[in-house]
Amino acid sequence: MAGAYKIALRAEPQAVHVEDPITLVIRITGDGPPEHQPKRALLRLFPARMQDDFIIQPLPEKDRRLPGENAWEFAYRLQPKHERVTAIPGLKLVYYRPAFGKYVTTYASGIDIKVTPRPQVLPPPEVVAPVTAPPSFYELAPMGQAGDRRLDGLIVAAVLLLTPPLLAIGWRRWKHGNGVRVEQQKRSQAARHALRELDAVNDLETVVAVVNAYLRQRLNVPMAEPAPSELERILARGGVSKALRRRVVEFARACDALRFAGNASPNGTPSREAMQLIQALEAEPCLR
Amino acid sequence: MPALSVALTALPVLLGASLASAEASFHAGVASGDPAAARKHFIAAGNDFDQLLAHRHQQSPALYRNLGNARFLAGQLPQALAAFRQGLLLAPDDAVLRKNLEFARSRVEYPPGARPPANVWPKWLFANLLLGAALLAHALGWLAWTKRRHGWMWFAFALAALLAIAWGVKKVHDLRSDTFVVIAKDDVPLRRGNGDEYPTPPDAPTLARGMEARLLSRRGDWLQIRLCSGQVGWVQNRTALVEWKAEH
Repeated sequence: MAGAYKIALRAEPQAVHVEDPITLVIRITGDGPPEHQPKRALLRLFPARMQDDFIIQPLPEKDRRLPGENAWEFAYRLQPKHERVTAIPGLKLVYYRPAFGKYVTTYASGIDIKVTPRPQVLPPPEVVAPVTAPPSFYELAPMGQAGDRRLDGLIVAAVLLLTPPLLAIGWRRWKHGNGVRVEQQKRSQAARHALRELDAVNDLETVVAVVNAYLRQRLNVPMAEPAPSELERILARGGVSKALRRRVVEFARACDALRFAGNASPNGTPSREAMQLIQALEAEPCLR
Repeated sequence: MPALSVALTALPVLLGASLASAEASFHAGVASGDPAAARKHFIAAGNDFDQLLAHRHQQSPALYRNLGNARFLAGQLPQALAAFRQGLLLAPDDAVLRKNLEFARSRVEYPPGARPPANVWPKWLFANLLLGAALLAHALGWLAWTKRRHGWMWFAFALAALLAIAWGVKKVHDLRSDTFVVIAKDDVPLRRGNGDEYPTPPDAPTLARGMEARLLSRRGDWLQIRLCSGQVGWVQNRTALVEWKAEH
C-alpha cells in the first residue's frame, strides 16, 4: 500500500454473549496510486494474540468501495471466545508514504464491548408417547428360577447318556443273580428230593440210583453212574473237601462191592449213610 | 492377593446391588404414570441389566428377558429385539421370550415382503434332532449288549458316535455362523459395498430400526448382511446391533 491513509473501526453490536457474532468494519480513507490502493488480500491488520480472544472470519461480501469519500470498508465477523473479552483492540495500518519516502504507521482506536456468558438453553420438554405392550412385558422374570437352560440341557444329556448303560448293567447283574438263585433252588430241591426218597427206601439199587441222580443235578455229573475214581475227580473239580471226597468214594466203592457181590440187601443201612453224605455235601461251602 | 480376595468378596454384593437397582428402576417405571418419567426409569433399568450381563457368568434367559422388556418399554425397539434374541440363544424353548420377541417384531416397519416369516424352523432344532438320534442309538447299543447281540451293539455305538460328531459339527457351525444383526437406526441405506461411496441397489429397501438380518461378513467398520427377503448389502457397524457371542 502506498499513498496517504487513515484507519478507523466500527463494530456492531457491542454487547454480545460469548460466541455471538460482531460485525467489525475497518474503514480506510485516503488516496494513493491506483495499483497501491488498499486490497483485502494485502491487509495484515490483526495481531496474532487476537486469536486467543476472538474467532475471526472475513466477510468479503460486505466489503465496500466508496469512491466519493475516498474510502474502503473491509468487513469481518468477530466472535468473542469468552466473557473476559472487554474490547476489540486497536489496529495499526502500515503503508508507504511516497511524500516522506518512508513507511508510516497509523492507528485506529479500540472499541469497548461487553461480553456476557451464553444463557443456558433448556431443551424443549420431551413428548414421549406411552408404550403399550402385553402384560408379560411389565413382569420381571424371577431370577432365582432362571437358570441357564444350556446347563439344564447338559444335565438332561448326561442323564440320557448314563441311564442306558446303568440300566443295562443293572439288568445283566440282576439276571445273573437271579440265575444263581434259581440254580441254588434247583440244587436244594434236588437234596430235599433225594433225602425224602432215601428216607423211604433201604434197597441198595434204589439208594445208588437216588444218590447218582442227586449228584447229577447237584454237581452236573455228566454220566449216569460214574466210577469212584471219576466221581472223586468231579468232586475235586467242584471244590469238595478231601475228607468228604474220600467218604463219598468209599461209599461208592462199598455200594459197588455189595452190588457186584450179589448182595443187594445188606444188613447195614446204606440209605442212612447216603443221607449223611448228602447232608455233608450240602454243608460244603463250595456247594452253598 | 488381598485386593483380589476383597474384589471376589465384593463382587456378588455389587452384582446383587445392581440387580436390586435394576429391578427397582423397572418397578418404578411400571408404577410411573408419566410416560417420560417411566421411560427414564426403564432406560436406567436397561442400563443396569446391561451391566449385569457384562459378566458372563450372570447371563441367563431371565436376565435377557428383563433387559428386553425394559428396552421395549423405554422405546428402544432394536435393543429389545437383540435382547430377546440373545435370550433365546440360551433358552430356545422359552415361551415368554418367543412371545415377547414376536410382539416386538410386530412393531417393526418392514417394507412389503421383507418381514421375516413367523414360523421359521429354529436353527437349534436340527442340532437337537441329531443329538436325540445319537442318544437313541446309544441306548439301542446298550440294549443290544444286554441281549448279547454284539454285531448290533457295535453298529449302534458306531452310529451314535457318527451322530454325535455330526451334532458337534453342527453346533460349531451354528456358533460360527448365523449371527443375527438388528438395525439400530432409521433410514439406514443398504449399500453395494463397504463404503459410503458405493450406491444402494435400486430395489434395496431403506432399512428401518428393528429390522433383522443375518451377518455374512465384516470388513472394517462395515457389516455385510442378508435380509430376510434375500437381498445382500453392507451397512455401517454403528448402525446395527450384532449378536453377542462368547468368543467375541
